[in-house]
Amino acid sequence: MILASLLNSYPRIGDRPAEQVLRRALHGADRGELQPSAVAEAEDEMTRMALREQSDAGMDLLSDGQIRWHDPVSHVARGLAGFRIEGLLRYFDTNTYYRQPAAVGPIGRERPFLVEAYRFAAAAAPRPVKGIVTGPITLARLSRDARGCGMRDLVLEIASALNRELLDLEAAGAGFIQVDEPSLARFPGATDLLRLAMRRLVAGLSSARVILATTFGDVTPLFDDLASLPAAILGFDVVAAVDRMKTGGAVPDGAAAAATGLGTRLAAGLVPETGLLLGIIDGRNTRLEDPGDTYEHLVRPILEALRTSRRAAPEVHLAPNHGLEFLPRDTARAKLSLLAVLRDRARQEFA
Amino acid sequence: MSDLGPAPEADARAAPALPAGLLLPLSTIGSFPKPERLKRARAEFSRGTLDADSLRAIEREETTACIRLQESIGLDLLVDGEMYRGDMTTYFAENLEGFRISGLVRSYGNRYYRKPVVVGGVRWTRPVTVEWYRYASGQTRHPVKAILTGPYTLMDWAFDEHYASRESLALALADVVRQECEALVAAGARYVQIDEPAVSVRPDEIDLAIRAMQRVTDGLRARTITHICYGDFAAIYPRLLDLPVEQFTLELSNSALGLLELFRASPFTKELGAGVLDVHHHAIEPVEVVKERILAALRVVPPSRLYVNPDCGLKTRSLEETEAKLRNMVAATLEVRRTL
Repeated sequence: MILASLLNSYPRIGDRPAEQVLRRALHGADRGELQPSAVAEAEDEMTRMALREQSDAGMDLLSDGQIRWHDPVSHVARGLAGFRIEGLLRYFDTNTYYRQPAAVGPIGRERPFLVEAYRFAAAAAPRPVKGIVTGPITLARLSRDARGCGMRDLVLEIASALNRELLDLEAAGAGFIQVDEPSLARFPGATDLLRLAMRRLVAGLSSARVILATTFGDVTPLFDDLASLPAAILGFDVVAAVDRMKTGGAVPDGAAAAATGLGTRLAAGLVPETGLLLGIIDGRNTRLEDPGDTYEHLVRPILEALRTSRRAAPEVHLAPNHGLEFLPRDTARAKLSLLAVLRDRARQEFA
Repeated sequence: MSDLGPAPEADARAAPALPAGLLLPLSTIGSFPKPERLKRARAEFSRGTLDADSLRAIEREETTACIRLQESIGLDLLVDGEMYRGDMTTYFAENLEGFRISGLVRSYGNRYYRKPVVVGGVRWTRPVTVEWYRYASGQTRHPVKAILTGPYTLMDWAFDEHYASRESLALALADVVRQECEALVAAGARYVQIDEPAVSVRPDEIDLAIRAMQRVTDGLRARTITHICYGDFAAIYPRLLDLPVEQFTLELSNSALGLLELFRASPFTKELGAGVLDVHHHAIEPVEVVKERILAALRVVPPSRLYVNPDCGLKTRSLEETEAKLRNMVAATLEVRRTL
């Protein structure tokens, strides 16, 4: 099965007035001229728009675009007990920011904080919507450990607290739940702790399929460690992986050879029944990929290697390598359309 | 860089400097909030219902008002307030060859900007900020600090559809920024701040940022400053000090003075412009709080090397908040000066 999907975030603004309702509502609320309910209505409107644009572009599995999220870190930390939200820090190597949580007490979850937004999106969407949560490793790494109890305890407490959210998302109907771990490329030494955390995180899930998504760099060197994690789908930034292999001189023949090498490696290490999410479109640059080149130099070599190496082709999700909120809306739309084209070609050849 | 000896041009000899021996000079990072009439004028200009000359006239009036405000508050080293700029990278991209401007993207929270896209070789074809430097300087007897965005940040905060590598784009932009610096110095600028907030997010590229800055400041006859904020300083300190500038204006208050801990472990060897106001909170810090922050900075940097400023540009605050915050900063600094 070959699907196309947005990874997680989507622009919450565009150049047309109708695409700026949330900005106007937040400004109005900041000046005390609008009630919080007006902001919530604008968030609903922009969420519906994000879902509609994904659907129109032909995505198979949708995201609510994280329109309501201030940032990927503090939005989740605000939903948990034991965190205090502090100053601004830059979010990885972007020119966006997040508010840094400080762990100040026992981490817990008192009530669901993602479920209502999931229900809204699922009801508004014509196709399945995935639930998305920032994972315990990233949340802990990007927080300040004001308790001084250490990273390990913090990660595992977060995992236990988020497990309750995942169970509630499953109960709310989420067939896919994506755990975003963008910090793995920056802090690669955490795979043992990630394994423990993932076990806690997914404990008790019965029907939902878990996607482990990685961004902000190439984590394929960790693949042997990641392959046996309790996740139905493992996600990789293929753009970064191929770029590293090319620039590292590992594959003098260019992108197609690098992609073949990557596909072979993934096929060799993949546990049966585990699928792949392949970030094949650059979500951080406006340059629009040529569909023919991208198919021939990235998608086809990887899928060919997977088909050659395995008896049963794994489930593959084609996606951008990042959320698309870093791009102008028109470019984001164009990249989703490109993704659908690549998915269709891949289905013709490999389905 | 230089010791601020006489600059070569007639304009430069006329430009004022900070008084000799002044301790804890008071300054800001660059941007001030745009008054409502200016925001309306910019919107009308974008819609085509206001002509460029009319917008320019309003920008000049508000620049003068901004200078008057800084004088009345008691700042020592003034800025032009950036009434004529939108975003800190987009403004330069709009005035250089090789860029186009994208649709809106989110900066953070509820702030958005039109991000530059590099679509060809970048080139400096004419002075970008010099006219505004001259205008602002002409409004005051105080020295005015020229503010530019640095090459590494211009590179990192643009979409690149043209260059083969980040390095080649950063170095090309360094040559561009150098030309603008030369033009500013020729117009009399004694203090040039080259902002590099992106430097703190990719520790593996600190060497590139240093090389790019070297092209900008090497032999420049002005006091050179850089501003960096909201990043992972621990990952780049003390290597950061190798950026070839004389002064760093840094955000300290947002991070609860955490940076000062780094400076205790490894001495801060350059001038420090200490950020003593959190510019992302509405709350007005009381004089006592600001004073504590200054005193904390003085525990790691001697008074002869300490400047006092807000964490970052003030454009996200209201005019009322800006004035109140700055007045408390001045009051706190004057109290500390009396004890030195």
